Amino acid sequence: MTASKAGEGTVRVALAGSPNTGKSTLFNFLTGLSQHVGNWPGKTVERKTGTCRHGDTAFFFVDLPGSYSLSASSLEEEIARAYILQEHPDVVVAVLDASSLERNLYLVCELLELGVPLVVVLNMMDIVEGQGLQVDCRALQSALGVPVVPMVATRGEGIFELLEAVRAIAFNEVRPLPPPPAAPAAVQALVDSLDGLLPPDLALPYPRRWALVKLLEGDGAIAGAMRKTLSSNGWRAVDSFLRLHEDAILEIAGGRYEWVAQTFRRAVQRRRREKVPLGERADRILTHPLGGVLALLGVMAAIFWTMFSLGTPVQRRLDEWLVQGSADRLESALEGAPDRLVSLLADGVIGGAGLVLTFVPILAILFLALALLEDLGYMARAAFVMDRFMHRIGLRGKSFLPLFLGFGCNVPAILGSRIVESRSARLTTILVAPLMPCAGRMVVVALFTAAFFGRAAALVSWSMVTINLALLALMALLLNRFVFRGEEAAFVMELPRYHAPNWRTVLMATWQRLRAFIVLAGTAILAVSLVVWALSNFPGDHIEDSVLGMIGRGLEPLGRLMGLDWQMIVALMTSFVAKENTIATLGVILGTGKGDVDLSAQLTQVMVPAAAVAFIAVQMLFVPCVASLAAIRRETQSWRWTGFTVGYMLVISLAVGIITYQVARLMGWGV
Amino acid sequence: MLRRALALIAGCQGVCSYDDLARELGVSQALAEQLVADLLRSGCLRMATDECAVEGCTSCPLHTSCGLPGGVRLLQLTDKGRRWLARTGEIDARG
Repeated sequence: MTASKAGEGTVRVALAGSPNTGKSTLFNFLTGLSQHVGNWPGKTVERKTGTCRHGDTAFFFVDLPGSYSLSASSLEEEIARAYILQEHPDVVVAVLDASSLERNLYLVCELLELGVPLVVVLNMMDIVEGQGLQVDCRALQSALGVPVVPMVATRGEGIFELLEAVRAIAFNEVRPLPPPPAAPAAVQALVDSLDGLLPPDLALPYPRRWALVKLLEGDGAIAGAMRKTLSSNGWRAVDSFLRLHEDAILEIAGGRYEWVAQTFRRAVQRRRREKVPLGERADRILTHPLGGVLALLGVMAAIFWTMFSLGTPVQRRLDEWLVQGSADRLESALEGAPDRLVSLLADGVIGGAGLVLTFVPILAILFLALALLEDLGYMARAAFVMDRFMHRIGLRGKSFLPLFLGFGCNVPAILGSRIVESRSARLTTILVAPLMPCAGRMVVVALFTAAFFGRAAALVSWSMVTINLALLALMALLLNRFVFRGEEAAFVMELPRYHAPNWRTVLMATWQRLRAFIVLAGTAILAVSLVVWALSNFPGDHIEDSVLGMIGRGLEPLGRLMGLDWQMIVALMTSFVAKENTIATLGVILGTGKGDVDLSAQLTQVMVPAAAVAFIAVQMLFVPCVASLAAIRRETQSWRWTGFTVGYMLVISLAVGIITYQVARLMGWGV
Repeated sequence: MLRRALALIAGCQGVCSYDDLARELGVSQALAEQLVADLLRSGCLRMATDECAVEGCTSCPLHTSCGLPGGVRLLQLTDKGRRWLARTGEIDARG
């Protein structure tokens, strides 16, 4: 024993281990009702102690806070380390989760380096089998040089053996402490050099060599203590040495990880698992470079199909009830009122902003699907796999995450580019972000595809989104190759675990996004609807003679190349304020607020399918909305790049619109 | 092994996952996570997403659509990490 240390025959035992290893379960099993719960002196961390007897031996247990290492990088680790260093327990019991052994062995390595009397508990042995692992406790014991006790603490299995092992260590019935794990030669050389800088007779409250290693690791607590102990000249020499070798931690901790990996390989055999967990199986497909992209395209197709098969019928009912029904009721209520006033309310307000609101069900499905996939953990995989795909086609710059935000709105995608550290990659991200198909564009796409393509609406929408993404990739590629030649920046991405969705979280996220859309419809879109109404009603009695009509007719020659008349050109132009304004404008111009006029039906009368598909293509690629442009100006601090974005998107959208129309006509969609 | 993990991260084409690191290092994913946590603690990596703070964001009606996909943490090499790697010639100190 250490009988003297144990004091009056009581063996003092510290239970150490990482969080979630079953340490507290073991402590509760050992101590039962004899526990005392308080706080560690001066800390808010709970301190649990307790006693038990085994034969004629009394044990005093201290449940140390959960810690992954003895680095003292957290309050818990600091407390655990201080207790072991200052209180010198007779035995330290390291409780490891056998099913996560590799991760837990790091702490064991540090305890062995510290040279404390140690017993290792392999808890949760019952779930190791299911993971396809076979732990050889004897091999592990041989590798560590300390007793290893297999255990299932929840069932009390292994408790007797643990107490026997602890007693034997405390009373020196087993062989002496094993040598600490060998550090890499480079580390040993550094420790020797540092040792030469210290007085040989320097009194330290912990093992000298261990303290030197900690100093090289950059341990603040040990450095502080050493500074107080050494003369100022002595400390200056040590400090200079440490600064010169500030990266020594890579070798020191790296050496421990090598030891962990070797020890693990000696003690654990992996077998083919009978049942691979569902999440792991899913990841094999969803994060696969090719399978992941195909899965993402499939998920997008499923979302669009759901939007159209469930959302469009509801949108049409809402259109009948909210737009046409309200307009009828309004006209009846305002019978005898000036025609201009009735037109303003029916066409400008209800036919414009009111019509946009009927798309809430379609957006609700889109937002719900995105929130659900995010909560399930899929969206992170989608972002991960997209990045890989982009690299495969030669893209540079880690812009995928901000770009991903563009599915909701382009503005956060542009602002989010701040996470990209190189200026060239950040500029590329900002300049291509408006090509992401935002929710506003998707509303317009939903209207046109449902009106013209019926059951194929989902397929057409999916194709349009895919074209946008392909053009985005192409544009980024061109920018990186010919304009910016930015350096690579590497990331590690921590993917969240899959889990069952929390419906409250999902519904809250959906509602918050929907509310933003409704607020937009009630403010910016309403304002533009009123302006469009005014421009389409003054001067003159006919819309063709109005300001809007004159502007539209002036641009009609360009529109003809895409099969679009002046009304569609005007609708496209108002999307500059907000993409949803296209619908509001068409509602005003085509008189949706007039009784039983259905916008979808109206559209099929004023344009052919070839023109419709060209219009969708142009709308998807048209110049960014004013909010996005403001964000681009703010982030680039350059009118030149802002103008460049407008210019290239205008050219691309018109070119794609003309090509799409001409190709669609050749396919027979021009009638 | 820690230096090798750092070199792997620096050299990965774009984004790499713990699974990628674990496979390259021949360790479990849990240990790869711990390695990365150590690199984060030593200042060789930093949370990339910490910087995505936009002034006045909360007043924007669209601010809820901001943010990375749920649960994603993104870690990025720091200048210190590059410098330390450069000492062993793993990468050029400038990146």
